[in-house]
Amino acid sequence: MKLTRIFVFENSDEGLLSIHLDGKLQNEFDHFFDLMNDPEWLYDFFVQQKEDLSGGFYRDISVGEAVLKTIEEAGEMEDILYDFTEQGLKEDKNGLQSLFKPLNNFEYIITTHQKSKARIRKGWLRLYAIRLDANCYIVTGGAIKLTLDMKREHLNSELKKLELTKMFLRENGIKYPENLNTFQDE
Amino acid sequence: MNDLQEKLSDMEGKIPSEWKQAAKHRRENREWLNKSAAIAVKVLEALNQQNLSQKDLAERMSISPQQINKIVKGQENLTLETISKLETALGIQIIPGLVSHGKSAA
Repeated sequence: MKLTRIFVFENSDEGLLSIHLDGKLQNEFDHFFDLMNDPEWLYDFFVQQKEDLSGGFYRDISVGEAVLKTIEEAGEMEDILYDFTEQGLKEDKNGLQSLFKPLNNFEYIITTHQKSKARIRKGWLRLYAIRLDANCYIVTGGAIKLTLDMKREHLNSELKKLELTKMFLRENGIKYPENLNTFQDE
Repeated sequence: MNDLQEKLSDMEGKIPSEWKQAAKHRRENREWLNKSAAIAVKVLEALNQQNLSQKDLAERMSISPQQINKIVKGQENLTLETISKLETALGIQIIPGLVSHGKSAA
């Protein structure tokens, strides 16, 4: 595993990084947004997840509508992040922290090295990350979350990447307290 | 460089992110890309319903399978000619109600 800078402001700790897994062509952040803008990939995904799509909060939405909703939501998320790259994080009161929240819905305290997720209100896209500082996050992946829990295979693999990243950071001298994020993940 | 910056820099790989460039392209071309994605969905639905592969469609339209793949990836700025060919090959209407097919009101 390596880290890739998505955008990091000069001479500061502020910015967004992503993990790049060994053997993969792209880092997880770039890969996620490419997939979320790919109608063919999204169509196949929603056909596979049809049961969750029609059985959850989002009943009455067709596979085709789900594809277009995802692309629209990814655009909104990208716009927020793109604006950060152009305007800087200082412009926004809370910067990246306004987008990323603790992974567990019942965690109300924001801490260093916390597993986090970015989402747009009423959206189903999630960007998973580890918080190193108020405006410094390492993205570990992303997913479309149609269920309340994280039991589906594609969501479970995101939890595994968060764990892998946690170990990677620890091996590289970034102290990661053992007692953090031991609750059942969202 | 502080301690955290130094540690992060030690962990960095050599392949840079291309996201900002891609996001800029998507942002600047959003209007037609959204239309292209909507057409891609119509094509994918028709292929699925008619149990056809992208290769079958390419043969029907006498174009390359790579060209069809670009269409279903929503990356093609399609011409009216290609849209018409898609409509004929799949028996669907992509832009409905635009042409009255010569039937005028009495």
